[in-house]
Amino acid sequence: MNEPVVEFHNVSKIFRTRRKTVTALNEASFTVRKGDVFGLLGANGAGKTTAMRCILGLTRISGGELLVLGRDSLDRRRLFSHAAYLPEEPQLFAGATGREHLLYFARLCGIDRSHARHRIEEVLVVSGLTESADRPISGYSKGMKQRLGIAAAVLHEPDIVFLDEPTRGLDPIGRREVRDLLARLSEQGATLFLNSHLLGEVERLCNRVAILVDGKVKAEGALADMLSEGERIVVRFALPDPAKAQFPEAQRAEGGLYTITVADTAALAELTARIASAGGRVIAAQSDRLELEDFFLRVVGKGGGA
Amino acid sequence: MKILAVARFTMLRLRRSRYLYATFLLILLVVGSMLLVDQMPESTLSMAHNLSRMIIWLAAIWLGINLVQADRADGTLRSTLTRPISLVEVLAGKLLGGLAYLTLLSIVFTLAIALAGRHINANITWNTALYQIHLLPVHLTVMALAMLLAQVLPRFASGFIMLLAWDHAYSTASVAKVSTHLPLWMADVVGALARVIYMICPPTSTFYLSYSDFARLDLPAVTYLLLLAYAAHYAIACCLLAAWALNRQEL
Repeated sequence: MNEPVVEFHNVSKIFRTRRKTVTALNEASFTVRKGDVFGLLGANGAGKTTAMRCILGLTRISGGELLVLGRDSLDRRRLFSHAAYLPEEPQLFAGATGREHLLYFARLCGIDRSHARHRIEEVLVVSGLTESADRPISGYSKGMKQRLGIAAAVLHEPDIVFLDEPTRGLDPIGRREVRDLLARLSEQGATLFLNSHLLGEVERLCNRVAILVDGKVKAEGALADMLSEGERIVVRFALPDPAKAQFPEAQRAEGGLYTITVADTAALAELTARIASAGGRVIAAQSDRLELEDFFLRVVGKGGGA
Repeated sequence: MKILAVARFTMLRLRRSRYLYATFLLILLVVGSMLLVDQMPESTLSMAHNLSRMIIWLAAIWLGINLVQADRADGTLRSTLTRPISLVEVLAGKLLGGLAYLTLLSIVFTLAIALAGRHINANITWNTALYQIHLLPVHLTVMALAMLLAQVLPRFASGFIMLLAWDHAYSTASVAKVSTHLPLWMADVVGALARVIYMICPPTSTFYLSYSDFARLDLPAVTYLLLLAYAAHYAIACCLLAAWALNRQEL
């Protein structure tokens, strides 16, 4: 198993003002491992941004233990030499060109000029901005700005990239471009930490998720395992009339067919063999796997009769 | 190296701003007016230098207030701080970039005035040609103080205070002159105001000489080196205080 890069152990964050006390994180626990594409999900006000701000050292935790890259107290400067952060709307220097912006950020990361130029060409290719690199950023579309923000974030080849709502406010083409770019970064071995409530995007990108509800982690784990939890396989098959009695659990379906629901692939194999020996044939076997949205609503307790 | 990167990028952005062109227009106006006046070349030269001094001083105040505040307003300060760089380094780099910009303005003013001065047969020596350049340490302290004030006060208030600290000798003399015509209690208030102005003023403003004083005075090199060292320390102290003030705020 890969080494952990972010570990939340019963982390609490309480904001106290004169009038009220707000618990933004309530003993939240989750782990992000190297190479993960991790999605932190939650409704508005669930504590996602607070969690990210705690990780980035922008706010102090009130209790528990928070380890980033194995350390519990990284100063901001040290953290950002290993990590990168892309805020919801990347703030770019509008008067500069894309290349100048990247060169500036590369220099801030301590990359020497010759290596910076080489690295900039690489990230421009990955982000698909090579042709527009010498144009002023003020003329970029929102999608291009987002891609430039991501390109700037990964310039110094960070161990982990934190992205706050990376596709929010983008049109479908822009979303696709950003998603493809993140997928390429993931393939190159970067650990990605996404903070989002665009569940479709998360489902396409992430391999692990945690769901925050009122500051508490209600579910955490591999996305595939979560969505296949309680998965059933519906088998549609045809049977000769004399064999019907051998399948008392079968239900009639349209077109003279029958259906049986099984729990897993082993049961599916057993049923398929029974059908074949009875002279019938399997027409279709369909999984009723959950979608992330259904699972999310079930976890937060607002859907699916949960 | 990171400080230099911030300074270079600050200079690049300033070079592309419309304020540079506005300043060049002012330079043209100053030089143009010199060429139009064909009497008393020495006093024309002095007036042009003093005007330039005031323009660069105002630019220093404007830069000091806006260099960090503008980045805070458009969020680019926050994105800069998501790199492995400290706030003090960012502020120091911005001051250096601002100083480079003021140096550029000073050089352009010096050259333009020297050329126009030759044209009207004014007496220009190597010593007096350095007038605008010699003010740069003073402008650095002004810019640093304006930057510090802008982190704790609204921009307007910072600008107002910096204008009061324009030339402490002139401001306090004016205040003292006014106070003789006032009732005693009001004179006390005005006297207190004069003391505040004196305190706010960067101590380097003692070297903020008019052109005629500069031409008369033979400033010893050692004194000037001390001024340079003092200005650098003053700017660093302002950076540290401004970073402390910024760290206590939501960026």
